[in-house]
Amino acid sequence: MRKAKVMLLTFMLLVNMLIPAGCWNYKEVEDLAIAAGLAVDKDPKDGKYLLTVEIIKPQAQEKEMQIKSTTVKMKGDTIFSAIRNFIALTGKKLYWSHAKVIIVSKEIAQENIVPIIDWINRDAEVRPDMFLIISREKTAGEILESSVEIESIVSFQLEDMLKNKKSLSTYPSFELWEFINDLSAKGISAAAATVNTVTVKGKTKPQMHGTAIFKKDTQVGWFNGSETRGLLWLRNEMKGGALIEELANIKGKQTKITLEIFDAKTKIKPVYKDDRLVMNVNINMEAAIAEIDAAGADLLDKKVESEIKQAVVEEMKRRLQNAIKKAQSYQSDVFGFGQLIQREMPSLWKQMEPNWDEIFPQLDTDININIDIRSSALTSRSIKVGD
Amino acid sequence: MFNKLFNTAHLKLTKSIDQNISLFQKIFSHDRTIIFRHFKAGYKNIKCCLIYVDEMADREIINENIMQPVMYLDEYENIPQSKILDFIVNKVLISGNVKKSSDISCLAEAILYGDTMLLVDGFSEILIIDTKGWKVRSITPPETEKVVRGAREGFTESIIINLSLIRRKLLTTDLKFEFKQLGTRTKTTICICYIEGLAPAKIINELEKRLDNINIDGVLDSGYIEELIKDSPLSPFKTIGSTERPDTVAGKLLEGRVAVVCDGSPFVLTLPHIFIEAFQVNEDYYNNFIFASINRMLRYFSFFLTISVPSIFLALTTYHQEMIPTPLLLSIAASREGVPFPTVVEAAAMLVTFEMLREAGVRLATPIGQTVSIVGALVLGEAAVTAKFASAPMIIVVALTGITSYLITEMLGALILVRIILLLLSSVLGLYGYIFGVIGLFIHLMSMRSFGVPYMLNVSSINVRDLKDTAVRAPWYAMYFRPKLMTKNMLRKSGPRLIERR
Repeated sequence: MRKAKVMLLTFMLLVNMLIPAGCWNYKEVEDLAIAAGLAVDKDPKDGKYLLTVEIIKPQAQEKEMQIKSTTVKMKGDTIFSAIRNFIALTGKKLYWSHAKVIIVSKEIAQENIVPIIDWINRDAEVRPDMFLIISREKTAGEILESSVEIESIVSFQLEDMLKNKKSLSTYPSFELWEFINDLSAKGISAAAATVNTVTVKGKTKPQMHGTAIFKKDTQVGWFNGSETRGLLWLRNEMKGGALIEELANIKGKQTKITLEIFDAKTKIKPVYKDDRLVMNVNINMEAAIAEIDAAGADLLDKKVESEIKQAVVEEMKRRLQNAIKKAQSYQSDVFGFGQLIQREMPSLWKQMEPNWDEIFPQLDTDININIDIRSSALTSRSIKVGD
Repeated sequence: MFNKLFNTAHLKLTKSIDQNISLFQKIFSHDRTIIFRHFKAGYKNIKCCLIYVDEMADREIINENIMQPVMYLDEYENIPQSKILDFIVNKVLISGNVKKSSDISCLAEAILYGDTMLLVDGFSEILIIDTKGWKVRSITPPETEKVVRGAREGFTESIIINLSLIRRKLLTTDLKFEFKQLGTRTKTTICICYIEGLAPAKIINELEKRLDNINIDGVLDSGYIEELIKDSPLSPFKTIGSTERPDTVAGKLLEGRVAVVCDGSPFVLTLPHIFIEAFQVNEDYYNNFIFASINRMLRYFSFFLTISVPSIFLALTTYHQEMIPTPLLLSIAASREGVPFPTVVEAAAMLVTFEMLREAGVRLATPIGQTVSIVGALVLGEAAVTAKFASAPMIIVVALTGITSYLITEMLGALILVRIILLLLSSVLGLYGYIFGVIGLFIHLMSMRSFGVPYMLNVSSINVRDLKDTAVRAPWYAMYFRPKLMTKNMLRKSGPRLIERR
């Protein structure tokens, strides 16, 4: 009897533990409104946030499955209140764990980006590995509403574009947590990818290009494709697989050369030279010739090879200098030179830190590039033109 | 008959054959299968009577080896009357096994077991002649444990044949058979087999103690014994093994285990039985050790899958959608579209349907069984998805669960229970509940013992010696030791390289 009582009590305790504690987070898959991406604009009239969310609508057809998306617009004083307004519009709660991108309009970025990303950084459901994109031409909402070719969902295609950027490198890809890290760290400024649109056959399509440069929490300038490469070089983010095309002067002729990078490493070291602080940039890369338009050039010839190297190095230097100059004109240290000085010369950084905004634009750089051309793919010569 | 047999104590055999016959006629009244054959031996016309059970005793033996020689007793007319019985035993009967007895209950039991009584006038003792000759099933491949490679013989219902099958594998004088009788009415013969020097005496003593404590009127299958003597009787897990294969029994005996053979059952019990034995299959030891190890690992993996897949799927799709890769989530969401039931109801319903199909298929005749599987698999599965009663991923989950459970048939019953409990836990608490369920399962498994041997012996060990026959099946030349704790005599074989190998 006593044993039975104890067992009954234990059983009831267990059941009670399960019932009051259970199910609080229960939600069926088909009841979720799965958000794929978020676009944030500001209504110019009343200054409220205008959110566009791309929602995935999975539909099972007869045999095959179709995944379509739709966009919903919401308005609110804060991001969160706008998002909660979604319930008033659709009756469902948005599910953010699978959202891939957040697109912020140029206007908001130029004003202050922190209020937008605070909610994302704070909320448990939203992942901080979303990609941050700044919309340069259109409003952010228009990007999500544009049409895409390969994927059926705009946000997923934007994610693909950013994930596979390494072979192109004309735009960076920063996940939100990286952006926030750069934003809050001293001695480095944040940057984000930018998106434009192109019109093909009357349809607006998103196209990634260039970088938005931030100073503190506001966007101050843009980098174009070649300057973005400079940024990626200097941040040591050029990886194998990237292609760089350079103009070179070979035997007095302007020749286009495309190199495929196998391995690249950038080392930057601040040094004192003639009492001036100089950023010593050393780039080592292994590359192969992927394409060359000099007819009949013999690439086995050491002389030709060194000419090509020389030409490429000059061209790259020029571009890197351009990118650095542009960043200096924005007073935005997107390369993280400040952090490097802090790491290498901490005492100097303590003196410099209050005036870094003035010092950075004056900073000198010394660029050394070392290219090792490993091969020229399948042929050693260019195509000879006969009769 | 129960009462009669126990009331025979006051009955006594007399020297008069007629009185003795009427005594047995009283005992076996209303039983027409008992045959009383009266005849007269020799020219002296000594009254004799044979009593046997029709079809239990072999008539050919009775006719040729008992009746014929006894009837032609003529040439031995000089024998004094008082020595006739001994003379019949010693010189007349052509039988390998003849006993004299005057215990009525013992005599009655003997003829019920197929022996024949020979009553001779003038003696209060009766001869029991071994004439057991009922029809038995021939030795066929076991239905439940099929093999690709390995012996094809399986146990039958006859204990003597079964013991001969075991004996044939182990030609050692150390192999001991101890007989016992269980069941006050069925008087089922059981036999404890072990190899002396390998099987620990403690376990044999404990087994005998438990068997002696059994008080039941009938033992129709070894399952009765298993349930009556097993450790952790409320657990769904088996703590006593059973097999239909003589080679498996021989293997277990060689590892120091004890076997219990029960008359009338082709399933022989082996004990102690530990968790990993469910994953060890006799064929593992006959096949290439690499192949066997792969198979064994598949079984472990299946064990995990078959208890976990429905609950993990449920937990992920109803609580932790962020853990599913986006394309998979979309595909699940698309196929869940329009399904009216919550995922947990869907999962439980499909699992129950699967178990129903299994139960329906097991006992049906083979042709109908196939029809059931076709109806179940094709019609139910396909139609349920088309009619939106269930989603396609759930069908896959249930199918996977079902298939994987058949890799560990020995645990089938326990697996079904564990699976359902985990499913309910994860339906209430998500992965948290699942993990709690798994912890509970392991606490239960770890706390069990089988005849003093920890049930999870060697499962959690990473000692190389322990792993040789658990996670993998090491090649025979590398296995020097019998399983730990099972026996004191650990050395399986001796070799000059023993020290290095260990």
